[in-house]
Amino acid sequence: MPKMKRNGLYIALCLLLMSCDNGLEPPGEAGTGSIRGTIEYLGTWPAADSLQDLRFVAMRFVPQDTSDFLQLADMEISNGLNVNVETDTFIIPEAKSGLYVYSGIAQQFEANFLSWRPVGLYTDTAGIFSVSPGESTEINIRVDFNNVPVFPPEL
Amino acid sequence: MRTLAFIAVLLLGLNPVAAQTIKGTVSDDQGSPLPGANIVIVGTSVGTASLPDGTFEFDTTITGIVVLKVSAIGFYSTQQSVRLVEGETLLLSLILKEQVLESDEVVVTASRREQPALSVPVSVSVLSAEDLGRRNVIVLDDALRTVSGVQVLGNQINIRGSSGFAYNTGSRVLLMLDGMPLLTPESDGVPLEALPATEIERIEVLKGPGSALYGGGALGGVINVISRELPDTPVTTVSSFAGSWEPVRHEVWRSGWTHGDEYRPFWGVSMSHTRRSSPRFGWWANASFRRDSGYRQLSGRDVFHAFSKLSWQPKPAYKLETLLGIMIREKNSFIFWASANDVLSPGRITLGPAPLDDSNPNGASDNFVKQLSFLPVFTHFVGTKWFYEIKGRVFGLFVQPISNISGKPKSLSEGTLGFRYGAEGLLNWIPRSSTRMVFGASRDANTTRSSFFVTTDGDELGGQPEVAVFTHLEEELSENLQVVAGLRFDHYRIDQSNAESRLSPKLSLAYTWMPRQVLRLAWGHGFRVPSFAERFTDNRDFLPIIRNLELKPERSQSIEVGIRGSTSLRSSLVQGTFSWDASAFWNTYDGFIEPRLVVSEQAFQFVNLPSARIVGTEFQLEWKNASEQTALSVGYTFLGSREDQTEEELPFRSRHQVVTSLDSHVWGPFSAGLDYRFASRPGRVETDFARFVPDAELMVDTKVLDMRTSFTRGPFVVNVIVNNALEYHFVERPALLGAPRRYTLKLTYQH
Repeated sequence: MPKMKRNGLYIALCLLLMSCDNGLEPPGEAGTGSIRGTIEYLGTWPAADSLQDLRFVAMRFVPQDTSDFLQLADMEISNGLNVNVETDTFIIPEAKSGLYVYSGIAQQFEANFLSWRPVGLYTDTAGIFSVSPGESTEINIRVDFNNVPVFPPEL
Repeated sequence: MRTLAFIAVLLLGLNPVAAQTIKGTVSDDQGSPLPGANIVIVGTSVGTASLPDGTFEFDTTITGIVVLKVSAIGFYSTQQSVRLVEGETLLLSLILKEQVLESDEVVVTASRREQPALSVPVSVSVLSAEDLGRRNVIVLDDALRTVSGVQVLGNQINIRGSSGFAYNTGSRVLLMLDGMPLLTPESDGVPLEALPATEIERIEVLKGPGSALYGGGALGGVINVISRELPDTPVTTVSSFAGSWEPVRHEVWRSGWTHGDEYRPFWGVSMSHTRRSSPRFGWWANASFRRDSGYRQLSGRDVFHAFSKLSWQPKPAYKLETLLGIMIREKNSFIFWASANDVLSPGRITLGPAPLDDSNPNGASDNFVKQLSFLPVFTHFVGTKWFYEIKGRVFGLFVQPISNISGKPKSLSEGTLGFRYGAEGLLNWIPRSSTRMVFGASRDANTTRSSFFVTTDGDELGGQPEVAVFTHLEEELSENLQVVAGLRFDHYRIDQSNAESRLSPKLSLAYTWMPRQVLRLAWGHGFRVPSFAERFTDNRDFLPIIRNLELKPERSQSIEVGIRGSTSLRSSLVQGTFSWDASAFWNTYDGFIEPRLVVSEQAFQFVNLPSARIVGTEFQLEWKNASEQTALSVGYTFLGSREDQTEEELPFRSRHQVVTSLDSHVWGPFSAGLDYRFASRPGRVETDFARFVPDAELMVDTKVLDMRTSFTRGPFVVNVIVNNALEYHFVERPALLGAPRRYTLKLTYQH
């Protein structure tokens, strides 16, 4: 093969390949904002042995069963909340910005990791709120231990 | 690809001296003795094979004029008329002319002996030492990525979709060195780093189940690494290389790591010496060191490596060869990223809504590893028709995690201490030139103590001893038809109460329907016992994985049809040699072992899938111009996979894979080349991993271009290599950014 033809083959191949895309890219810096909330408790608190843990949980999706609690990458979780109180507050200082569609107070009723249930949901604005980068989002949640939400949620 | 051109045959026979006994020597046209040449009286099964010193002798009752056929691999066979006189001895000095092998690389994996690639009845690809050298292959996975139908996912090799992403546990590909299996004690993938890349003659990749010949590890295929032969004159090679990783393209990624904006260096040196001290003794030794700072946080490594091969032949009929190696490595393993916005930093898995703390990320581990290999082989040519081999193997593995606090290795009790040892006996019987039989038996054991494994024995040291008996037959039914059949029985003890046995048959045919056109049909069974890691790993330090004591061996059945050929064209438009290989394969799996999330345990576990199948086709085309100064190769593989129960694709398999390579002599001392590989985004990405690791479901096509040029002057060779020249960012496996662009300068001196 003449050298000119061969070099031309190289150049053509390189040009063809250089026209490709750049592959994986950062999905975009979502940024973080904070979630602040106030909780009002009603009804009779559960027995201490069924109050293994109590937290505020904000989800980017609507869970269909307890196995969805493993989608930790799409959840924001507060530190443990106080128990046997009438009101409480929480803050998640760095929550990913975006929409949260299912959020509320979750009770761990047994030691097993998946033994969680919602005891009160954020219901304003159809239960959906958004977090904007650098901004604080404030929500209020009412928990009635005598009338806990159905789980899995009815669609 | 070069054409096989049959040139001429030179066969000299001395005048008959006596009758009924035929004896003499076979040598090449340089006067060197030729062992293993077949001498047979045409039309009969009377004959023999030459000994290592080229001598032969056999008796016959035939008298009168007969035709002798003499053949040897790599040489032109020939026939000659001789007269046999009753009661007399015929003394012959036979000389065979060496073939100019142009397209037929010699391969061995298909049937435990060397055969021209064209006639091997299974799919096989070969990488030569030159292929490795001009790419500056340091670890063999760099070379295997250029083989059609092969993908490397982390430290796992995937041949024709046999493996997906399995969290670095288990392997469906058996790695062999000079025909001896290299199995690490913990079986955590293929130990590619343990091999001396600079002392490799060639790498053969056998595609499809090889269990009938090599046992359970060969479910998806076999990679046989052939070390260099000892040359007649001493050779010293010194090479060094240095280069750097270029910072990744995106500022967001670079900003996540303190060193993200820096060019990250790597370098290495290697020295080898090969010498045949006498006709009976020779050796080579290689020592190398390399340091890589890594393109991601916590991904640097220092590796020292020494390997030697000794060959001693005290008598023509006896031969002892030993491979001895040691590797010492301090290595950071980057396991998964923090997120797709922070791909250079390791992430951390939080199990459950426990409070996040500031502890170190668990998406990386740092280990100090020592690995030993000892592989002796004794061969005895008992007679002209049979010889036996005794092979031993001992592997030692010492893994010490490095403390995050002191920076020093912890004790072995917090890591892994493992030994794998075994032996194999092979009896080779060559009753006639067209028939070859192998009978063998092997015994291996694996003793591992690891903080990652929880066994059922209560005895940490002990597990999975295995015995096997096997036989193998090669028969040339006619000049055009070759049949290879094999049967192997394996018996594994998994623990005190569990044992598994498997019978693996194999049958393949090669039919030469036109000159240099070979049709092949191969059928075989394969199986694989769960690895230690798949069965016993119970650890949450890096990934939540729990053991599965109920895990069963997986089985496979493979059918393949193919055609391989070559031809020379000398038209005005195109000149040169074309060779091609096309195949279609159908692999079914029963009890396929794959990782799945067990929700109730919030952890992964290896489970048996009911059944799955992988069907596909593969095409390879190679061209070399008439002056052999330009070579082009293209390979395409299509895979279709399916889990029978769910009718879903198997995860992490690319449907389309393309590999291309172009090399040419540009001008004077300069040569240049490039490799391009493409793999389509897997049709199915298992999202369970993404429950724990952000953005782990992100996968893209793989499009990587490597470019190289070389300058040769006397004993010096200078290589300049740019890997991933297009700076294309891809995901090698879930949550692991593939290698970005890097530049390498390599200097080699050989004398």
